[in-house]
Amino acid sequence: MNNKNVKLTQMLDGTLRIILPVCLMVIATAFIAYGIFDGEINAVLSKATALCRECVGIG
Amino acid sequence: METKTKLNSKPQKTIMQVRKAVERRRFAIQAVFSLLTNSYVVGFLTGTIYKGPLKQICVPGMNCYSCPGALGACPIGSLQAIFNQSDFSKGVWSDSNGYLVTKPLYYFAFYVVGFLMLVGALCGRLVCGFLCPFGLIQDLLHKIPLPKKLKIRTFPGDKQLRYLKYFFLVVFVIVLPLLYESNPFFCKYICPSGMLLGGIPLMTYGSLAGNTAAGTGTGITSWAEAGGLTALKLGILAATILLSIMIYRPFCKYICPLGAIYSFFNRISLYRYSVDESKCTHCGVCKNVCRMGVDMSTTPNSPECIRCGDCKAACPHHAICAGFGKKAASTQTLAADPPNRADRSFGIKQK
Repeated sequence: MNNKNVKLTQMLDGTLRIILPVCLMVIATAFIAYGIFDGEINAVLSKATALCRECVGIG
Repeated sequence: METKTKLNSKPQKTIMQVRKAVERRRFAIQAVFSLLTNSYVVGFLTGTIYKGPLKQICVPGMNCYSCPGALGACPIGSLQAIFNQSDFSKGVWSDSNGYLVTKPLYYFAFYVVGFLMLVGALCGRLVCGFLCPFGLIQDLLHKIPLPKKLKIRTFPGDKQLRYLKYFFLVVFVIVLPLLYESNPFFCKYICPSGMLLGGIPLMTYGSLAGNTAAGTGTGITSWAEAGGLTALKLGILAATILLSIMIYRPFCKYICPLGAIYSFFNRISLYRYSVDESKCTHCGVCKNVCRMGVDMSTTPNSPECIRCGDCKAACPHHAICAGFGKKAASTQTLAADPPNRADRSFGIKQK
């Protein structure tokens, strides 16, 4: 009985270990989609395509 | 029992060969990925940076977007760029074109945070071990031979210093850029990657080409512009290089905010390490070979583990397993093991 419970708990743990990151990835994808919709991607582009004077040490 | 005896009798030379093969494979992946994400050859030839549409996509590793070859955007730089435009303390904001607007441009960095969550939940700090160009540079620097006394594996305070990267993440990447507009504090005052991959090549090219002044935003600069900030960043870069020769990946261990973010995901990511308790004899080989100072037998998914695979290759009992999803999870939890094995797999140290 005890052994069975332990095995069940371990199996659930194994499943959770997959469900949790997959859920996070779904949320992350939604975040990315919203960020693109909100125009953040343009802010990233405009920052990344201009020489970042601070980054290269001439600030 | 028979299997264990057989495995124990495996000659040491074979294990060394396996470790070398694993290291060579990792180096090849690091090199190919770094070259692919920094393959804008025109940038190196003309002393400018890439300005195409690929730059709106973040790369997973620490890769300054002002590197002449960079094709993607650095996630830490992008995060600060968004936070810089979310300064809630003022009433008027300027957009990326310099026009004044009456609301913060962004309330939260959904795109960049989503990207980091996606990569983190998928593979955690595997990125540090395999996909980070600055990690590769540190790996190469650490290969420079030094007298054994000068190669430092650990020192008093090493464990405490590891928390410093979380300080840099919170203060320099999140709080200060949120409070002050147009100031990417981490990139400006700390990051040696920008100086090495962007500043030095661009300023050197500019000087050779006879540039004396910068064309703001054009990617043209020269050493004539070097000042106090340049000296500070060169000093940080020199210290990072020297320390990288002596200590394995000091930047990743103590400074890197990107590593700090991915470390939160190490314990829950889809790609994970596991230890088969039925095979593990707690011989300590994995702990001895780990250059990040992780004890794999007790914390296989430690936040400090960069998943380089050294421990897996060195394990004489083949007790360490790495993989995505059920494969790793099942080895960890369904093996004939003590009931508390499941807790240990999340990195919780046993009393």
